[in-house]
Amino acid sequence: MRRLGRSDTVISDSQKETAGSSTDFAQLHRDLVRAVDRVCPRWMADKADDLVQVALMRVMEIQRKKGGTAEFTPFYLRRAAFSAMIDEIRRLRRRQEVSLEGGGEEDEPVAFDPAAPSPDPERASAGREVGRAIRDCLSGLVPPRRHAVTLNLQGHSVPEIGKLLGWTAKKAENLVYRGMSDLRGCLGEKGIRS
Amino acid sequence: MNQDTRELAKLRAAFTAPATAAPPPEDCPSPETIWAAVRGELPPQALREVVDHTARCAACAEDWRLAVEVDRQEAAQAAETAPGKVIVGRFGRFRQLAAAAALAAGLLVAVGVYRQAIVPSQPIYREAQQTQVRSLLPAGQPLPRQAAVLRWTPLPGAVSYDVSVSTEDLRQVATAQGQTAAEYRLPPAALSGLPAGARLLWQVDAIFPDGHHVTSPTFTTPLQ
Repeated sequence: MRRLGRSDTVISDSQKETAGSSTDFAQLHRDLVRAVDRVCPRWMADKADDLVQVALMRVMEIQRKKGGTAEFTPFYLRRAAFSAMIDEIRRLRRRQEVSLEGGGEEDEPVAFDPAAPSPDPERASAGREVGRAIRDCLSGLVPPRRHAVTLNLQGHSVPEIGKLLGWTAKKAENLVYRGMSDLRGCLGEKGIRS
Repeated sequence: MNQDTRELAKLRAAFTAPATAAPPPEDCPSPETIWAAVRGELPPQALREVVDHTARCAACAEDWRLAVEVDRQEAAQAAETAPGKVIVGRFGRFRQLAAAAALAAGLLVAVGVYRQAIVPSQPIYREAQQTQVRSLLPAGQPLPRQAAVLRWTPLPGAVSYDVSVSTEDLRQVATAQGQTAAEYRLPPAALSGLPAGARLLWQVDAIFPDGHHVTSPTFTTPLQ
């Protein structure tokens, strides 16, 4: 087996037989790497290839254990790969935390450092401080506004928020507007001006 | 870009700033639950619980955004290909069958295209690719200071674009309004105070003739 490149995938011949189309896995690999690149902080995006590779290998292993006879729709494959990838990301986050606590176990030293996404620690720290303040303020909002604002801050549009939470577009718009107003007020009380 | 849009961009950037500590995994929703929540497949109460969790857990908020990204890619791809594709285990043993299936799929696509040509249908996915502004910068590649050009996918019908650029600690680097091209060249002077490797957060607002606008996600690009 060889290592993955960004435009390639690692699937041994025996795995190909149980995995189905290697083209599907290659596409899925590219999609997942792109998603990690776009969403995750630098410490993780730098490892996107390895991360996604481990996740896809786990999916292949599941297929192999099922004898390779089960049918896997692209939808199922994508969900399984996403789950495996998040498991792997969470494992890395935990390893990072253990490492910072000085309680490293048998694994090699952790190279990932979410606390240093930028070469300027002060700026990164300031950004995290505002993030913490936002979370603190969100906890004080009434639930419907909190849900609306949280999804809005996650990048969802108002129509998407309405669809997800089962609201009309008008209701979603009102809750986002009022919730954001509450959030601004709360941040202002903490001395943070957006 | 108006004040509200700039402010929202800054708040989103701060909300998505990486956290220092990972929560105990047992406290977090499973990846399958987050996946189902993002796709709107959870009962309302369960969905609200997941959203509440992401409001206080930066790690799960990040997982949520990953699910959104993967889901949108799937929707975009599915919009371009015929539905119903199935991956079969031990595929290699059935190459002839696969070839026949591929031929059938091709025919289905052809029929679908023909039908679409004569019978307009409603769009299936809520986030068609053409309704989203996406960054065209290579992921993770540093932006050169002397040729710092932000590029994005143009939206059909948009008459202009507003751009806002800030640092991770929400300091404004540059703004531009009324850009007619789907790109913006950052003035070198605006970048002069920033260290190498600083991460720029930028967001684009596409303006349409009727006044409505479509706001992009916040993109992150390292500076050379």
